Amino acid sequence: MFNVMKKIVLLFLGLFVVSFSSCDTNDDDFYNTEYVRVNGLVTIETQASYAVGDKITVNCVVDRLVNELGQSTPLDIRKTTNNAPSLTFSYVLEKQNGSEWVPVSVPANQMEVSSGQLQNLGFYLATAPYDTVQDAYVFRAGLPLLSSGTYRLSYGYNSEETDVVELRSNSASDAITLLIYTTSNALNNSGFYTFTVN
Amino acid sequence: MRKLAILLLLFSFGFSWAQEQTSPLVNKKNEFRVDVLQALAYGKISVSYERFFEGSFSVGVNGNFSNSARIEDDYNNGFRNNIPRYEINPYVRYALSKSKARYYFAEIFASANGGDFKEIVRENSGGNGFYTIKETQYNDFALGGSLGYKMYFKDAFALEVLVGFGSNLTNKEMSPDVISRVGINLGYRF
Repeated sequence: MFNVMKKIVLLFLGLFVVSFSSCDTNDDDFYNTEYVRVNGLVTIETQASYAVGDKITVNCVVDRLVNELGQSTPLDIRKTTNNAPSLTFSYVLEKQNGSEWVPVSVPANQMEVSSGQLQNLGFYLATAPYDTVQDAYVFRAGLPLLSSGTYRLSYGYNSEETDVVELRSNSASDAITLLIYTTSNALNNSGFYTFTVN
Repeated sequence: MRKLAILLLLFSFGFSWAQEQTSPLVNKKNEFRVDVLQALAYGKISVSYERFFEGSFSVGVNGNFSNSARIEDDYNNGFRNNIPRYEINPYVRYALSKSKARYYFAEIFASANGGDFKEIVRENSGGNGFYTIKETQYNDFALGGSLGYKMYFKDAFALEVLVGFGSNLTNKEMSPDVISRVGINLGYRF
């Protein structure tokens, strides 16, 4: 009897393992998130040269209707996200110190934010709220360059991607969250905009 | 002394065996159960019927109907893409112990199950596209196995603990991969 029980228990364990090893991912993902690709939504306002006291400015304008890659009709972001109030993305400003790159931390009172919000969380979290007049999500902010040296700006802090910027809609929990992969100008192949402040 | 001990032991086994053969449970062929674990933990109504045969086999059917607020919230907030609404689970059981009053058992079960499913689709309206959540219903069929332990009180009232899993087979894109049969059941045999 003991042997029969042992075999049945082993059979059951086998069934258990097979059941779980064949699991796909449709029980453990975020099913309210849609991923789309729209190029050219974020811009670094580059200058030919920089001096101490200048600002490095990042600009983001996302119209309600955008050209989604691979689709023949414009994508309505407002309708998709059930009127999400804002989009967010992040970036990092670093300064070269010998062979190391050190994050540049600018206090909030020295940031020059003309549209949206910018938070210093070790990286910079940019929020582009929806502007009813422009019918677009808009962000623009400059960070002062307080000392001379070599700097670089990148968008990959919260992402493994180096050549894309991830814009995320702040949708209600039961609405669709839109994750827009976009591009920024001026980045090199490693995903950095590197510049020198004299 | 040693012979006496062996004799007593054999006698006690024989007495126990005779007790099991004459247990009132032998003549009670039907049982209804309710799963208290599923009801309390998941807001799920789970009822079962079991028909006992001579020997170690029995057959039965279990019905589950779910309306859990927690699962509904997870579904609405995007943590899952389906809500199981019903399961009809016929099963065959084999008792692994000789005792009729308390025994381990193994079962194989089938499951006809279904519920709600949602996915994000792209639609067009007025020349513009937008993504929206589309909800449909799914139905699937699963096979699985379980192990459990059952004991009776006053030769009629049953307490049963069951752990089992099955795999959906025909509509995995929409249905849950795994059907679980985990429960603590209270029942009445007659």
